[in-house]
Amino acid sequence: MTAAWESLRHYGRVYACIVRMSLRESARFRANFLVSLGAHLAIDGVHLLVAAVLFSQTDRLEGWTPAHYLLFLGTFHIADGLEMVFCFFNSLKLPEYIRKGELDVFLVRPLNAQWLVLFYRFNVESVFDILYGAGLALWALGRLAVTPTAGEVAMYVLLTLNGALLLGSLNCISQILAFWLGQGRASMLMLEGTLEFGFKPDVVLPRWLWALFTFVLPITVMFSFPTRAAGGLLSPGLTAWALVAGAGTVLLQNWLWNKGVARYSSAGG
Amino acid sequence: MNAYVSAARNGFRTALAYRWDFLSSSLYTPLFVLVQVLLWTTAFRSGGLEQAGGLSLPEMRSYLLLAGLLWPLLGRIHVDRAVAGEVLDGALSLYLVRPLPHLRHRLAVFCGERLAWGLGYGVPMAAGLGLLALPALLGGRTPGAGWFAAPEVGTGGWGPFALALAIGLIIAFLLEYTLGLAAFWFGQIQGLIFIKGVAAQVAAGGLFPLELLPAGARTVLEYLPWRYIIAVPIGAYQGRMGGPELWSELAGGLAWCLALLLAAVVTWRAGLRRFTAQGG
Repeated sequence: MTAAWESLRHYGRVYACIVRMSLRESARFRANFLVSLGAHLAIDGVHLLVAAVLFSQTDRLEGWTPAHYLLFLGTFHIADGLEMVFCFFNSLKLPEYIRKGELDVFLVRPLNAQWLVLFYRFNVESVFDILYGAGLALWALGRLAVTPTAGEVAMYVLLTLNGALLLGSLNCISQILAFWLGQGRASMLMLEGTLEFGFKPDVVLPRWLWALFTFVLPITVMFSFPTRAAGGLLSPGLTAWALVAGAGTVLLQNWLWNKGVARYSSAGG
Repeated sequence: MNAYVSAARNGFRTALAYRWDFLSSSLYTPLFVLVQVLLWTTAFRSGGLEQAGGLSLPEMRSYLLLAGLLWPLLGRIHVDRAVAGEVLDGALSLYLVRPLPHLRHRLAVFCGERLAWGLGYGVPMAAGLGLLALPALLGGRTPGAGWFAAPEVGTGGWGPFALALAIGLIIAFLLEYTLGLAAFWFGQIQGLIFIKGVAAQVAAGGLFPLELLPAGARTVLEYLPWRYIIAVPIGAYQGRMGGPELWSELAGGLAWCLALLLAAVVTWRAGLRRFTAQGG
């Protein structure tokens, strides 16, 4: 127990150092930070515009009100922001590390190599996404037809974190496949295309697609399930499945990483 | 003339060197389009809508399908990135000693690139589109008929549709070329290019038909050139413009081409006065 606690503290200290360095780096490129903020605002604006245009034509989307839709958007921004802050941009570098043999640098350090690769930089620019998403979600939660109970809000938070974990894990898996494919672009692109089905409420999917993207590739679980949970629209069975899917994807990621590292032969000189 | 043909050939070859981009767009775009189609199909059904923005459900699906497929061809052309890159890394100095005006050289390269994209991405997508349109063309005798509206090219036939596409391409090129020249003043403009890309997709009608926007926003967009890139060619394709309206739109597009050409030339001349490059 003491060893585990010591290890946790050690990783905490290393990560605090990573955050400090990343903040210093961002402060050096303030203009980039502002431009990045502008880019985030533009994308967020387009998402809201699509929602506004959609609900100017109809007041419900298979039972989902505008408040549900905005809660869904908020959930998406929180989970996506969390993933981008911690690991997305770091995971994109993995194929290059493998190709150039630079993964050696991570493997010889006295830390978990996967952890170090995935958390190598703290992407401060994406914190805005989390704050924006949280604001939107709070605003929408207050406008649901039935006020959510404390339990439903707690389940919403848990499933949103689970969604972020799932999203991050799926993206990491797409990059870890570079151990076999030599590059991560193909798998990332296939994943991006498939994730589009999760970027809209699951009520738009026909039943067979819903089943496919819930039980085979669990992407409806990421943003639609938390929204359903807050509105009291998620059964206990599906709630349990969401958590199993999240944990299972992380385990799969870990297994693939170990298999990949086992077949990795340094290309560095 | 040979120099421009050679530049176009180079553009063609360069685009082929990145042929993975064709494949990636060919994989990603149909999935993106399918999600948009499912979203609006649900909206129509939930709201019991007969029409939205004057479009029936099959027409809406056809619009989304075409907009999604045309956007990588007409909207994601990256001329701004290329021009800004040349300004920033000094490669522009090469053009200054060549007997080819930069704008014309870039246009020739662009034509070559788009030809490669037309063949590598456009043809397979059009073939797929043809398969989708088949049930409608066969008059409902196959499963899935009624999902998409049959193509109903406007009053003038395929000619005006092709002309609208060509005008859209030239407008897209000139808009991005001029934006790329902003690097003379601002240096790094990657963020600006990204924000423009997001806004342009909406203003062009690349995400939804512009008729769905409130009247005020629609009026503003009617005075801007972006709608000629996606909305007008699709309008011509779907036959939603009568004869005089179609020709007036095409004339408006040509006027924009001239205005943007003038803007590009003026910006180039003003920017060049600020340009310095140190050779190595």
